Amino acid sequence: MAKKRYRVVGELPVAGAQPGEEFEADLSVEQEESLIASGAIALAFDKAKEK
Amino acid sequence: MAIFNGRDYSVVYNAVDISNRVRTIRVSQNAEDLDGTAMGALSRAHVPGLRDDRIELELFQDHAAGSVDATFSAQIGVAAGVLTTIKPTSAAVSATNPKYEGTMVLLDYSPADVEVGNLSMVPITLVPAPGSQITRSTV
Repeated sequence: MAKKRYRVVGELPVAGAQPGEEFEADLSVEQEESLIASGAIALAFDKAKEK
Repeated sequence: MAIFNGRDYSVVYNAVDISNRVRTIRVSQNAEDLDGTAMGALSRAHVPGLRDDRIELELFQDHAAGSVDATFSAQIGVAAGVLTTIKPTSAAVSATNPKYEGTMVLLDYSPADVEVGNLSMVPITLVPAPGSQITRSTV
């Protein structure tokens, strides 16, 4: 599974990243879904890959 | 690390660092106490049985996105559990800052349990996913 980039959008740090920061992680589908559903993280737009 | 004041414990549940919402922590690593005493014995024979670990937390309730309520409410009774890690301090894991870790299932969650005028606290009980236990690691 490839790493994805996420942004912490909730009130608490996630995977060592503070609120507002981005991080890369290889989350399982279940963990990604639960963290997005709880409002902890959101998928981040990867500017580097778009260029 | 010598004796210390427990003021910087780190609690990470499903990758969410809930440390600054935690008031109390109890990590219990237990084996059931089976009675193997037979006739002729002069003292009780305690036989270690199955492990029965648990983590009990008391948290300050917080309904903000990605905080206490949102993090825990979705995990009640999910048998697969989620990784939970507790360390004596927020520093990196080391020989003097061991981590206690397990894939934990949320058994008890009371989103509202408050008396007028008091802080809204949340008691949490976590048990290991079937067939697992809490482990100690220094790396």
